[in-house]
Amino acid sequence: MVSPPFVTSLAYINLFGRRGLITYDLLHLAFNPYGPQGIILMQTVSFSSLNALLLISITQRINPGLINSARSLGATPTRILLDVIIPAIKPGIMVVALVSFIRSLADFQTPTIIGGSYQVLASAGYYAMISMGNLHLAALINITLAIPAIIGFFIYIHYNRSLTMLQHGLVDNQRELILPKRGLLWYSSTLVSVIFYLVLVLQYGSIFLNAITEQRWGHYYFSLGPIEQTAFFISPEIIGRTIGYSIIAGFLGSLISFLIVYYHQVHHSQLMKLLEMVGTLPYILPGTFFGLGYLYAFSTKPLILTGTATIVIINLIFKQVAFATKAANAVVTQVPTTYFKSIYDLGGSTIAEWRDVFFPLTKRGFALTFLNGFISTMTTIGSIIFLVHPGQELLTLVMFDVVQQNEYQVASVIACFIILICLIVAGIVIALINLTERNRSHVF
Amino acid sequence: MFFEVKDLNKKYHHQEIIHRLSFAIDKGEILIVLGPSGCGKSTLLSCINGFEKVNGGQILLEQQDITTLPPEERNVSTVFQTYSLFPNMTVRQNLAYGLKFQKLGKSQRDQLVNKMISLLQLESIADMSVTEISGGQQQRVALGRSLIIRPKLLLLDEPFSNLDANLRLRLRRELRRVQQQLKMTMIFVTHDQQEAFALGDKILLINDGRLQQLATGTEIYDEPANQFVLKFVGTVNWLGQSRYLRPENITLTPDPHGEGIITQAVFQGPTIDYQVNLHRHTYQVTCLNRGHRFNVNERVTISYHEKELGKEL
Ligand SMILES: Nc1ncnc2c1ncn2[C@@H]1O[C@H](COP(=O)(O)OP(=O)(O)OP(=O)(O)O)[C@@H](O)[C@H]1O
Ligand SMILES: [Mg+2]
Repeated sequence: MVSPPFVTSLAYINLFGRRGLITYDLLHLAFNPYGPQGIILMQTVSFSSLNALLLISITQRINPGLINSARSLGATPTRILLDVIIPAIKPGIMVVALVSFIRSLADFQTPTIIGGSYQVLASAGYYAMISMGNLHLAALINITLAIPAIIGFFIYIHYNRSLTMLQHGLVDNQRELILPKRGLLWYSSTLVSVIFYLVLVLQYGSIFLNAITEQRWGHYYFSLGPIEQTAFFISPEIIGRTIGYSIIAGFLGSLISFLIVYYHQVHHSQLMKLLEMVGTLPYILPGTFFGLGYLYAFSTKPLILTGTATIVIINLIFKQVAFATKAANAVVTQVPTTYFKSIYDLGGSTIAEWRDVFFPLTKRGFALTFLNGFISTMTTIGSIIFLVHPGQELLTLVMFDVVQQNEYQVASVIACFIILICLIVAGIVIALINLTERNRSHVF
Repeated sequence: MFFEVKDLNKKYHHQEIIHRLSFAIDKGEILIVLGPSGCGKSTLLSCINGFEKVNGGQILLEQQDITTLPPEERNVSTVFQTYSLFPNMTVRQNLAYGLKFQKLGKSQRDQLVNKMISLLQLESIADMSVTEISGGQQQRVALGRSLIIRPKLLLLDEPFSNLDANLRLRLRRELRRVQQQLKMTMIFVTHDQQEAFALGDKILLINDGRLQQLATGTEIYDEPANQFVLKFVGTVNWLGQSRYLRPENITLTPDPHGEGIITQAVFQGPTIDYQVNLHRHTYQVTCLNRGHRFNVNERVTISYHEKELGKEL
């Protein structure tokens, strides 16, 4: 989750490419990993960890009483999975499948890296812009891509609504779902999970190894060579700029989202409700679609911003709003509205409301939303790739460039940098949350 | 004995919740498990239905040791306090769910479901989704869903505690009727003495996971085994160290020269609860709401029959 989306493809090439660790060095195979099967495989792997996280959080919302009741009526674990768990998370599966579908449609990085000569619409749109400089063709392709995405979006809204209605009836205080570890389904799902973890370990392991080794006479040696090489491609300035942009986008994106959600949920502003709807579009539409939109919008008077840092930052901020409003919604709905009412009841003002209720009760959620915005900006690429001008590079963009120049080791080093920065910032934010919460316990 | 628990012990994180509990039930009986909140009633049920492992003791159903069997193999079914109906199914499908795991033909299954629907008077909602029916209806479906598989033993954990008083009374009667019709053996958990007296053949009173008394309702009320039982099932007026009177055994007579003074009157509908002050002692008295109603500060005389005095403990 803390790495750019195409890291999976990078690892894949490291392991299975023409000079791959497994295919070439271990098995001595001349295996062609490129082409459509590679694209599909990579997209499956790189979306599945996020999807798994989402489905896990949905599964945790199932009332454990349902499972206990089914068992007490004689249901076996396999039947419970089929009769209780899968029906309960079905809307979640639909949402996850739709989001993956829409993201795969928009994903141009994987196809450009491992598609070989095989092209998809997203990569064609990318080449149209980058190699041919044909803005209009790129726009046309992106509009074509946006149509299924918009249709998908409405289906997504439908299922997402039924997800919020998952809870029915009273809920036990027991929080864990306890299923006996038996039955064919349990063994097969365990097997799938183990394979999945292995793939993840292999993926990050190979990136890390690639960043710190060098190959001489068919053997791998520990070496700082790749890191030294990387110095040609990135400067401290690029790292600083990337971190700076991420902090700004994470913070302002979260702030705007919380304001929108505050006025929508607490003051029932219809305008804000509309803004929230519009704000979710970047969540679902191809990033390049937005990037091109910004190019069109800000290249003529009255606002000429193309080529400036401002346009990149604005784009990054509003990309955050899409996800951050969702997170903010989840946080704000947990604060009972009577809290806000009682502030006014006791004679307080809006400032008091913010200072005494809204901020204290949502700051944990705010910090986490910021963190999410930070990480996703660190790893984003699609929406800004057409907006960033030479000399204003960001880490992911450099990484994407060097992958295309077949500098896989340098790309691995950059990937490690990005992951490291994200982990450090996550550590700091979480430590801060824990520090401020230690002295205080909530009374709800 | 049909169902037996012997020397049951249960710990959570080294803390003993149930201490060497033993009891037995005959076939076709309702046993009420009564006790204050947190005394281990639900824990006892989860040992019997197999959702928790026991730390000692034995559970026998028709002489077969079921102590370590998983829940789905026990022939014991539970109606949980939280209903836990399957939200993706209709009333009918919920009722039929447990029958899937028995070797029955489709027509046989339909017949059983229809019988249960009419037994519980669910005809009008049979094909509705369980998300659309009221709390009382949900409770009846939850009950029917367990009854239909004819478990050897049915456990009910405070099944009526989320319902309003009238509905609770009605369902209590229905449960009794259905239980007698099907000759079902049940263990019913409650913390409400009224419910215990109304439903049970026998009452198992526990406190702190220890057995206090196992007896019929009248025995528990009239001949409590210890101070805890005495106080838990009703109010007590002490006369000296060891003799006591229940509030309904005291008679009040209006008397302008009486030594007792009414200090409080709480109207309960069919009865009225008075507090009477006499020789610096306060007595609780319950009178039927019939004839004279006393006012606060009214003077009274207090009397009782010697034979109503509680036995020494
Ligand atoms: N899973 C658990 N882990 C640790 N302690 C538990 C657990 N479940 C229950 N307890 C403890 O066991 C004791 C008995 O709990 P139990 O739920 O059996 O009480 P109860 O008699 O059913 O109460 P109530 O009438 O409120 O439902 C309580 O002190 C409770 O804190
Ligand atoms: Mg309980």
